[in-house]
Amino acid sequence: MDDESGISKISDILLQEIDHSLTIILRERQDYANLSETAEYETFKKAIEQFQPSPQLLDSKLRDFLERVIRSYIKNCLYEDQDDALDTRISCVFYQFAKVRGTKTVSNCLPSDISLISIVLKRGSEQRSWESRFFLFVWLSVLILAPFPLAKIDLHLPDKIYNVAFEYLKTGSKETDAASVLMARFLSRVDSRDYRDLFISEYFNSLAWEHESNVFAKIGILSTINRMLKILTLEQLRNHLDRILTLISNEINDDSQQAPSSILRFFIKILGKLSLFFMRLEQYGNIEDIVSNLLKFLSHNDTVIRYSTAKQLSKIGLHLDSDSRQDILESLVNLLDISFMFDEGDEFQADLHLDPETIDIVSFHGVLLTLGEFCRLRLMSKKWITITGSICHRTLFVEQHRLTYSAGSNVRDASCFDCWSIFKKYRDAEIPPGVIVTLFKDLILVSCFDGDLMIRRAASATLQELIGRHGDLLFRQLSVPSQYISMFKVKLIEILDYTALGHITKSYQLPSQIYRRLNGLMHQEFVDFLLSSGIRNYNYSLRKLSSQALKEMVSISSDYDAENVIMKLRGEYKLCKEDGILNAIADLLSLLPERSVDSTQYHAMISNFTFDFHNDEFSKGEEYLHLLKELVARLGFQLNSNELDTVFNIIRTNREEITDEFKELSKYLKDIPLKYAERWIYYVKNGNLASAKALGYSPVMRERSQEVLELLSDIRLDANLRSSLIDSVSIFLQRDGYLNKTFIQGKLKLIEQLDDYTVTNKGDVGSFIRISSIDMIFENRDFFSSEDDRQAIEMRLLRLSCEVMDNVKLRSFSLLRSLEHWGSQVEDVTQSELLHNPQKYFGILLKLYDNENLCLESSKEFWKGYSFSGGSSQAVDKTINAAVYAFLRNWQVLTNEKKCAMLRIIFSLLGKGPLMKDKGSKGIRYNKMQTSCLRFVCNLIELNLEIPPEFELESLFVRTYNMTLGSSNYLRLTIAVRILTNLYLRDPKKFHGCKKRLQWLGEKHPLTKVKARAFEALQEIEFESQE
Amino acid sequence: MGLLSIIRKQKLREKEVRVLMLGLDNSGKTTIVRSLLHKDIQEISPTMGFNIDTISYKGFNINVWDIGGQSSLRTFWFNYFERTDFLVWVLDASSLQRLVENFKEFDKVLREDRLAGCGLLILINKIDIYDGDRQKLKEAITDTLRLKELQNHSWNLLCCSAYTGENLQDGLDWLVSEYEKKYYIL
Repeated sequence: MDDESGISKISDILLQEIDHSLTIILRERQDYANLSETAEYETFKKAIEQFQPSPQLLDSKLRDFLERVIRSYIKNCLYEDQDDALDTRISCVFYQFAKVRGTKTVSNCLPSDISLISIVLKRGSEQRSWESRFFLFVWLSVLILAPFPLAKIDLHLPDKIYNVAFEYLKTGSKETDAASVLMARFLSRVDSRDYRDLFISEYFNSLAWEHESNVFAKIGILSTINRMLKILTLEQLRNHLDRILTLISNEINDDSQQAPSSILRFFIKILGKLSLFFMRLEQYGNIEDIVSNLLKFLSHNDTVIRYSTAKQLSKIGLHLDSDSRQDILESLVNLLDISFMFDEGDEFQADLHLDPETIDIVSFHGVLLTLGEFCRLRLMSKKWITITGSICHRTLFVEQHRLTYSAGSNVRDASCFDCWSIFKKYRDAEIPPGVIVTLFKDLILVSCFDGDLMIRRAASATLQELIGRHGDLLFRQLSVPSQYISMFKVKLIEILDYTALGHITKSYQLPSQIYRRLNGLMHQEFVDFLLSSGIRNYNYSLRKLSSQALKEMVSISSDYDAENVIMKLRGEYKLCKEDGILNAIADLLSLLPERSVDSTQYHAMISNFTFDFHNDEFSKGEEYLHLLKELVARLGFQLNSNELDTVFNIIRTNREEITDEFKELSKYLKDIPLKYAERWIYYVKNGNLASAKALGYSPVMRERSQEVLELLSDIRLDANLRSSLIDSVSIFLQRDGYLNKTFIQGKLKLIEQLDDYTVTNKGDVGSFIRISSIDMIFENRDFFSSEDDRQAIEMRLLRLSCEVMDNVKLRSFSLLRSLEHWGSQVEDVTQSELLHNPQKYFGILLKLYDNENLCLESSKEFWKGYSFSGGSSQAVDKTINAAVYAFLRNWQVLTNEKKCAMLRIIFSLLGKGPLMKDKGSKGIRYNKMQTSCLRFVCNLIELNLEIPPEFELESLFVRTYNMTLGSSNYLRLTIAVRILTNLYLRDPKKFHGCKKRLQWLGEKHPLTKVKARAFEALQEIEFESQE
Repeated sequence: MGLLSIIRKQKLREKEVRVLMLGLDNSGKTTIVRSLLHKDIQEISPTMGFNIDTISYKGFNINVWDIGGQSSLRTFWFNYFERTDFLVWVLDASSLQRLVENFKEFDKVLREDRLAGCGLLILINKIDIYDGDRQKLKEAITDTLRLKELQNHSWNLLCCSAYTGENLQDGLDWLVSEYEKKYYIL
């Protein structure tokens, strides 16, 4: 929903909110308190700011609100000096109204009680806050409009007003705007003539201007002059007009310095207003000067300046005779530097020479905006509508390519504006039918194919005007039978839906909808556009979308033969190797029947193709691979060595798009010469991901499976690469690889990939391998179906399902559930439920464990995994808590016998493991597991896990004791200290050895930190014993 | 400052009002527009299509989007350049059996977010051939369309005849005054 609609919907509620806030801020209630006023002001501000998109919605209550503001100010502040905060707050309320609704509008709601002039002026001159000055100056600007000589109230009053207004004109603060309103209104008074003369003669001359270095002062003066030109009469200004023009002309033409936009904006507005005065004085020379000056600003870098100029020029045009108007229009078009034939203005000039890459984008934008304004004000003759149409026919597609982006969307936007104005403001008979038809086709192309969402929408809005107002004429011109015209109108508007245009992919599919629903309307234009520019677009995504759209448009009609279109493109590629052509040919090839074309001609076409992976865009390689894939797939194309070399050159570019295309190509490459098979494996060994990922589709895998299997165990290879190789093995197995002897014999090696815990500075990269392995087994369950396989897999999955990483454990759990026998044991829960409710997840796992009679080895694997979740330093608190609480809950329903068995297995993990001597990743992993397990056990006993009396808890003491021997692992020792303390406190006699060990650690351990922990533990024991 | 905000500001300044003319088929939407434009109303075939006409009235340019009764309306609510100010819903006084159908369509249209806040003028057309109690008819329609429950929309219900021109001007007067009330109080 846009902002305007949003505010319309809630404006009544917001007005009530404002009404309520004001009762508090303005102290209309007796029970006010300072604090609530400040808070209420924030509420008020929030409410009023929401009116920004549609400030007029304030109007129904604005007068009432402002009267209350004034009433409160008069009552609480105007004659009092005590409450500065309230003064400022009320003034802030006024400022917010002025900010949202405009100073002029709010000033119209202020009372004009002449008796208040002196006090308001006095207070305004004395106030410290700018908000208060702003409010009082605006109010004063209304008060001084009273039709009485000000000097009669107080002889010095005019002086005082002039001085105070002038002082604050220069500050550059927010009250400058109010001071400018005050000054302009003051100078517009009949009795202010001398001040008026003084103001202009003293400050608006070249000398004073040069000396004034303060930009804010200049802006203040200009804004006052601008306002004066709005409210003063010709008679009041007659003597000053030349002076104002001269100064501005001099400033504009002073090449030594360029005025800032904030000043230029006023220059332009003032020039526009001056021209209207000169028109009344019939001083056409001055008008000509003004127009010449304004024309220069159409190429200003600031859009605001360009638009402001366009508006002023069109305003001047509105008051000129048609010949002079024509002169302005000709000057405008001359600014474009295009060879336009004015004599042929009546003829639509479809092939206007205009090179989008070299034109001055800002000038075009400025000129098009002005032409649009001329159209909107109906200042164009039929000839000029034709000229504007001829220009828009080209500018609707302007795009200028820069290094990292393309410019020109403002030119296209302004072109839509021009067309919109023409179609909205002119009747059928006033627009040449040729212009209507051509622009219609252009706008349809822009609606469907422009890369910028706003331009597509602008074009479609323009089409609505065109079809709604000139639809009958248009479709008659397009030879649509009269009985179908209404249908065409509605269907077209429906197809060019605001929402559909919002998605670039959908908008590129609109031409086929238009074709299908509107009897092939514009079919040729769509194909021509896509062929001539769409498929070669600068933007990679648009090129691909165009290519797909072209394929669709060629396929839906018998008017086009894909082979002919391909032949045309081949010819063009021969002449110029533009990006996108190969891609389009590739897409079109898929329309040809298999093996219908002699493929040899394609060898010639791509024989000169080269790819430099250091410098070339990846897309160049991507489309080459795409073409080869289609050639091989459709035409049985055999790649020669040159082409294979290029392919292997392209895949050195590490891009997903390249990998995907290479995978596609690999699916169809049947015979790969030995040299390239070796190169493929060489690439894999050297870390090339594309070759690893595509290997599964290639016959090379069959021939080199032993090498691949060995590579999987090569821990020197990057984990990502090994994970990709596993993906490839998975694909190979699915594609009839179940009979491959190497993999049959090497199944265990494949299953063992589930045990990869490689850790690098990027973290647990082994998880990539574990995930790929889980997926591989999942996809090839039939291959891993023997009893031995099942046992080896299940054992590992029990561990993986209990681990910390969500994506590993949930994938593993899914695989476990999918295995025969396990599926019926697991309750039916969704992945998302498992993910968001870890306690439930662990509960399910423990239930599974209880129900199954697992062998010792499987049980150990289960608790290895569980220890990580229940005690790993890497696990988040949520996971640890979930694992521990699920364990405790499950513990309550177990028999003592089961409890003892479970504890024995868990504690056995704390013993010296078979791999402890392994210093590699497996050894490190085992150590980590033990520390996690120790922490898990520590968490349990600290939560008073009830140990069956018959269980030999001494075993925990022994295990813990042993784990402290010769260890300098601070984390492990800290946990051990906690366990030893807990055991001792449980039974000091039975576990007196714990205290002894703690004493030894406290006295003799080489690490001070460990000593300190042990010492603290002993203190705790001492303290608890005394209790 | 974008082009759009400028155009929208100017729309306000230049008193451009956008009106969508909606209603079931054969309710007389096109005849009303043609009557207001003083065009021939004798032979009008059903509007399956879509037309835009501008009626200049009291200094306002009222751009009327007349959309055929059987069109899919969603695409017309809003466009890049401007939003809808008023909906004119036309009912056929000689076809009151379609009131429920009218309500369903009407309700569907008003749920559209982009129409939030727009004014609503309900015209009971072909009143010249209706010989019942007009006041009761208006009450029945007010109830059926649940007009009194409407929030965020100012509304008015008028009996009119595109054929005789009765009350059409009152309809325009209401549009203009509502627009002024909303945007030109100050």
